[in-house]
Amino acid sequence: MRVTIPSFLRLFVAFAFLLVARASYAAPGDVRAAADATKVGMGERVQIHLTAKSSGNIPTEPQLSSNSLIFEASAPNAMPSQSISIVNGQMTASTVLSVDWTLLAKQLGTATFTLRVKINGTLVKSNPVTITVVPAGKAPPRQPTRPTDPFGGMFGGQNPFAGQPFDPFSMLNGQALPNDLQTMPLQPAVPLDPKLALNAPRGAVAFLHAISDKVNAVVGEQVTYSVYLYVDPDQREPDFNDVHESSASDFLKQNLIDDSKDSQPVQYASVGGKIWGAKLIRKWALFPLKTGLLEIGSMRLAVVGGRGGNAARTSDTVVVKVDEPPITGRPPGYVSGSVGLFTAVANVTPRDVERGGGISVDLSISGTGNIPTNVTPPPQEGVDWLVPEVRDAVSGQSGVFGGSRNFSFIVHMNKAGAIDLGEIAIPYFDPAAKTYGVARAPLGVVNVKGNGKPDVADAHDEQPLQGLPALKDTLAREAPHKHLADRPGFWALLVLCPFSFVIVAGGRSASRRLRDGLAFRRASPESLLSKRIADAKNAGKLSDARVLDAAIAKMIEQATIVRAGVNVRALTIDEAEDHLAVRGVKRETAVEIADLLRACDEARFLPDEGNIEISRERLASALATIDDLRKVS
Amino acid sequence: MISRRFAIAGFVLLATLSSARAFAQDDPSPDALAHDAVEALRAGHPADAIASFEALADRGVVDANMSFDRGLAYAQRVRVGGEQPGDLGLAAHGFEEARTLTSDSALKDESSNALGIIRAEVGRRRARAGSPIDLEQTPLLRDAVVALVPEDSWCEIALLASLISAAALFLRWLTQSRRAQVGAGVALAISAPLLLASGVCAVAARNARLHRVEGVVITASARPSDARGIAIPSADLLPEGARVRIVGANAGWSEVRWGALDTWVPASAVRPLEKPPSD
Repeated sequence: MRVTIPSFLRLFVAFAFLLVARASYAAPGDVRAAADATKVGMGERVQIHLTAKSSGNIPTEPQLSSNSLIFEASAPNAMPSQSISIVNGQMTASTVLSVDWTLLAKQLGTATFTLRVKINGTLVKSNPVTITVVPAGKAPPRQPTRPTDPFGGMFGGQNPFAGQPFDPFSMLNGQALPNDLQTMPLQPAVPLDPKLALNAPRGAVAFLHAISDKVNAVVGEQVTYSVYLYVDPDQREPDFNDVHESSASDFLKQNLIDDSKDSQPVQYASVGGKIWGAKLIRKWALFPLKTGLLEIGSMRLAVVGGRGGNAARTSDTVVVKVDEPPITGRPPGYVSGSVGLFTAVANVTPRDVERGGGISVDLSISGTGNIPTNVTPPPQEGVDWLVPEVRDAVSGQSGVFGGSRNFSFIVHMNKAGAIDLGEIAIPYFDPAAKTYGVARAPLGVVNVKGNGKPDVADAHDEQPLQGLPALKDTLAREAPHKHLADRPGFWALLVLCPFSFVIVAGGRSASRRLRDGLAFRRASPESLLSKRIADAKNAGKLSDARVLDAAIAKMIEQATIVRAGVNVRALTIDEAEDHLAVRGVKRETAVEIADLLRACDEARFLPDEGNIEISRERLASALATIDDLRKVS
Repeated sequence: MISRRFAIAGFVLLATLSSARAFAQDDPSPDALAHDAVEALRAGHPADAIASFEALADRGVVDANMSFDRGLAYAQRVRVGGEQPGDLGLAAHGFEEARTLTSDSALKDESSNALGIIRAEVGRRRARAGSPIDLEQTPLLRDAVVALVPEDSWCEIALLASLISAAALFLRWLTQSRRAQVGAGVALAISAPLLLASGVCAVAARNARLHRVEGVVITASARPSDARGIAIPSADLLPEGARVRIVGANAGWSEVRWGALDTWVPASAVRPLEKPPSD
């Protein structure tokens, strides 16, 4: 049969063939991906192409996914087309979707892309495409190929808009995008948990990472501790064995998840720009038992197989600073570690009982946190509380440990009458509100009927601790005692008493030494001359000429020693005159001194008392001569 | 306008006062706690009394009467059959603390009597269990000498000896009388060593008051251990209620001295005694 095709249809078919030429390598129903370079430099752009061919509807929803965040991708540039082929008279229509993305290299590394597209409602994956980012300038030069340009043939390989500000063909094939192309972060194929992101992997293939939800807590406050196992999805999953659990000896430990292998879903997180799988393998509610810097030890396991071979992996050590809750507002009876949010309910049955009989008290404490494991009932005389039976219904839900704990007491009532059992009060600290609260369970009154026998409580013979003194009603408020030994004055007095003797005796000795020193100073030639002059002047005031002449002679002798360095007493008067002249004393002065000495000697040894007036004149003359000697010296 | 401002200011003041009052109600005063504790003890509710007395201690209230009453509260809980482990030790601690804190001789005597009753009960129980009943150890000689007289008495003796020494020295120096010199020499020979000894004892007593930490064993099973925390196999348990000297601490353990015995016990087994406040 001959088929006639209108001319406009011929033109359309030819055009369609040209359009699908870029996807000519794709098999029917096939989805293929390719990049225009497998190695690019840092900061460069590269294009990745998807060609999806369908025999039915046009493929839709093209997706670009990667296990890496080292690229930023532009918005997809999609170009649908349709082709009709006639082979042996059989006409086949097919649709093709060509999509281009431009990727901007942001980090060094290797990324593998898988492209997806929906064909007739089914998501079909392409072949993986791997692109490596190398340092800028290190990438091999790219060939300027345009393998998919459907218009290449039409314009003989020449782009009529080349070099123009607006080049529709370059935008179509995406090879010469403007520099200000708006890029957006590459959307990974899986949702990432930002809380699990890390700057760098702590080991190849797989590693452990431990975190706690808080680093400051109070005694008894829940600290949620988690350990994640990170696995590189590009590697063959290794086996794990030789597991050593984290040590947390300073904490009360409660499990929040099932530790079995596959109980938790795999999450994904960015680790150093690459996507890793992260699986929660341990999650504990830890309740600190004491204050201080408490350490949660590391978890350790062995990684067997994979690229890294056999290696040990250790999680981080976590340190939690633990304090006591504040004193302010703390209710009486608060037990350290009673932290959470509690309510208490008690059920007492029966309310009427015979003396010696038993009643049941069921106390239920429920809430979240460190629910008390033991309760002290209010003891009173004639009421005997037996050890309770405890039933737990506590677990970790939504990461918070809580539930209820039931205490079943049997209480023997040994005293007749209406016995008020009081209440069971459980003070607690609520870390969320940072306040104290008290969970109260009133117990009420139990009527105990007498049975004719004396009260068991009356049998005091068996009661211990008889004869204790009476209690004190008020605070003693004793004033602080000042001890003698705390007073500095006491120690000063203690030391000063014996030392006062040392001070007095020493002072006396010191004064004596001072006196001697002064006397010695007074005995110097100069001071002696002054003394001799004073003595002579004093003698001049008296009427004894001999005494005055003797004083004059001593004065002159001392003056020659001091002024001329000549001791005239050791010389005759004539010799003295010569010695003085030799020492630089004027001859007239030397003669005068010799005459004075001679006159004094004569006057002193006269048989009569002598003339005081003459002696006084001699004194004046001697003083003048000493003055002359001073000029010489 | 002004009246509106006054109204706002008044409202703020009222709100502040009411919140302060609410806060004050949340955090009872020491007097209120003491009153509650005494009333609970009087009403025969020792557990409530203990809670209030311990809350009082947590607030840093150091008072001989309250320590005494706290001892009574623990003792009463034992008496009424609600005994918790450690109650006898805690009762002994209260009485020891009262005896340490007070300067009132009557309270000292009452505390000593009560302590005797508590220790008698502990001794009875230990005898029943076949354990040694010695609850008090002979102190070291130097501690015994220092404890012979109160600290202030040592100070007074030292001061007297100091005065006599000084007088004797002056007399011996100044007098010309032979008899007076001999008398001064004898006085000096006696007072000088006395001054030295009493001075040293005064210093030791002061150091003990300021720096010595003592406590009371408050568990029935304080097993002596070595410095590594390993129980000493042949050692007897430290008796509950025994007064010990705490000489060291390390990571949840306390090094205690009981008589001549130096050992380690868990820190929770010993409750330190408060010291009398001083200026």
